[in-house]
Amino acid sequence: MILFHPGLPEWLAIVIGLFMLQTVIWQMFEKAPRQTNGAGLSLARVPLVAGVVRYLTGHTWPLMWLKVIFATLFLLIIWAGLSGTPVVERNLATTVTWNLWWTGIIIGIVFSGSAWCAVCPWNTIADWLVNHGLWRRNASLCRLQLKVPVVLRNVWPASLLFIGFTWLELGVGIVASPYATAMMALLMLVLATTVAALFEGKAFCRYMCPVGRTVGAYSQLAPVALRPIDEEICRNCKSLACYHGTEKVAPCPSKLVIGRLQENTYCTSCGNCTLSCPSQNIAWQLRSPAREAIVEARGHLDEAFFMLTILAITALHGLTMLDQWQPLVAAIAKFINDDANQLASFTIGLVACWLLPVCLFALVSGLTALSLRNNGGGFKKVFSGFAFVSLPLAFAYHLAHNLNHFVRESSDWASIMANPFGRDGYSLTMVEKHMRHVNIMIPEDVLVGLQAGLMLAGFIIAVIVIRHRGFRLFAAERLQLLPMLLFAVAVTGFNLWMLVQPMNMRI
Amino acid sequence: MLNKKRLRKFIGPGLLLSCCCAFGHQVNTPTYSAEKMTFATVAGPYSIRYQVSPGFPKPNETTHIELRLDRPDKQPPPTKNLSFTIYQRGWLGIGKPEVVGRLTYQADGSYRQAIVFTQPGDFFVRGATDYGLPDLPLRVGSGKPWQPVTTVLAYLLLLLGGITLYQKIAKGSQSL
Repeated sequence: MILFHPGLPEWLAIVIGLFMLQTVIWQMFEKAPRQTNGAGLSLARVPLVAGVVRYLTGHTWPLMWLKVIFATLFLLIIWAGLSGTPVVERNLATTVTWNLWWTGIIIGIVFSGSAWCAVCPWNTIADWLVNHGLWRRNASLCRLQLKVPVVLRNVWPASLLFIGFTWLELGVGIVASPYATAMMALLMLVLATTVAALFEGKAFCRYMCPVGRTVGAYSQLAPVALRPIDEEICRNCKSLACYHGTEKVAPCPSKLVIGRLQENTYCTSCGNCTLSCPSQNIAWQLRSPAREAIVEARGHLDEAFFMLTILAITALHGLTMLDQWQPLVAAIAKFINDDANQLASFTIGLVACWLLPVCLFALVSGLTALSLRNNGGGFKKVFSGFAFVSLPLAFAYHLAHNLNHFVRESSDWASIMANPFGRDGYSLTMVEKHMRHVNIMIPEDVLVGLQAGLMLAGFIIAVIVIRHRGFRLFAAERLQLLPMLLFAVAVTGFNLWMLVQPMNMRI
Repeated sequence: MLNKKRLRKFIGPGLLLSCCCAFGHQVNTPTYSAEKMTFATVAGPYSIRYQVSPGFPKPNETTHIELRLDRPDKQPPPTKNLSFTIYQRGWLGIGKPEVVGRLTYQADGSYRQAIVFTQPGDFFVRGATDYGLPDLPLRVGSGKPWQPVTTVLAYLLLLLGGITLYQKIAKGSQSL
């Protein structure tokens, strides 16, 4: 027997739908926006917290301890998965990985941008292994420092790994196996270490890591980022210590100059720049959310595909947890005469779910390019320039969906930490599952309100992205942007429909 | 002759196909108690109930495996073209699995077998049916945690040691 989470009330979805309609009509008559508010507020200038922020960004040990804690937890997860109980809900490996990390990492972006990458255990352990040191710059012989082949200098590998990761998670079902979860963790460690040993910088994080690229893409919407405290100091800087590093501190692994940084996509918040800056001019900054996606970020085809992949895979995650998914896979299985494993059928479903939004976006890009042919808008430029619209749409649904998992499926962490291997633990009874289902972290109404608010915010930001990017890149406004607006309406509408449906409990 | 272009055409679908063969789509999760582990799934027109007792089998203890196929339309259970084999998983789950036993057809329409596993490890029951079946899980003891860990450690040692050695040789030949 499977328990289902209740969905959003239908009336709320209708209200959001009406709001979307009204927004589209308003956009038809409203002039394009000419200006954007770009001022950020450095936390190093905020009274009361300034001292703490400067101390934390100017010292190595806080980040180092966080890295040690996360790396230890990661190794414990591997060992628990390999040697602990096969009972999914009792094993630290599955509960922490899928209930806490996989859901929490997306929610965390709202509060800390790309900070996860700074403490990511895959990269931390790989770094320790190849650099033979905890943080200091050194000349380890374990690194070949090869240049990444030109063909791999894009996020296509990350897109493919993301789809592969999803295939393993939802298709093979490693979520339901602590052992497979641990094997997956080992595989990622091997990949990260191999790439770190062969190539210069953080090639794995930059080009291949599906989680890092997702965090990077979403952090363009985050209201926090590492930025200069005083931009004038960076403008006059001659040393570029953030880029080159110092005698003790390694250079920026993503080869970014923080003074000129406009996109958070590749910043891993590793803190090298905060430590190496001779003027101690880099700290966390509060800024207008989604500013990068709205105006600053430049469009690239590989990144555009990655953003659309996030949109598609996020929707697929939701879809597979609905009651309608399994009959759909079964129908494909019957059609292609698949065996009961149904993996080939699932794979077809996955590919279809990935292609559908990509093709839909290609279609609206084509229509937009047609209407903008006199404004210098070729298909490729329109496709990569407007792909940012998928970020707020995907992020909003991702957050709303994960919030459901997070507040409704929270494990009994005290007992799991006390018995991480789940020795002598049995599966939850239906009564226990039901109790967990009923005792949610926050009141039901608050959860529903948050989900509805997120969907609304995602749509509003998407409209702002379309209007600003449309005008800035192609001097387009009003009716010329209608196909893109309809894309945002279609995606939000579908995501809303999924949120209205009852959803399968994951663990 | 396969040229590069034609070869590329085969690599994608080939990889996809081999991946699909190496793994199975998990359509349900087993339920564990001290007495038994149960797993229910559907294959073709059959609903399948798979049960292992005790719930957490240990080496050198008798383990009872039972599998029951039912048709919702109350048709008699199938007896032909069906066999269920117990395998031990190969190296890291990707090596060739070894046969350790078979389930026997009983008069009541179920398939059963009592078996004593002499060593811990990951086993599974695979059915040869007209409709195929997901592999049914069966862990004895605490599995083999050292196998993947030592494999990874050996690989990393080889990789990092190899690179270090290469760099030292390259440095040495430069200084000569």
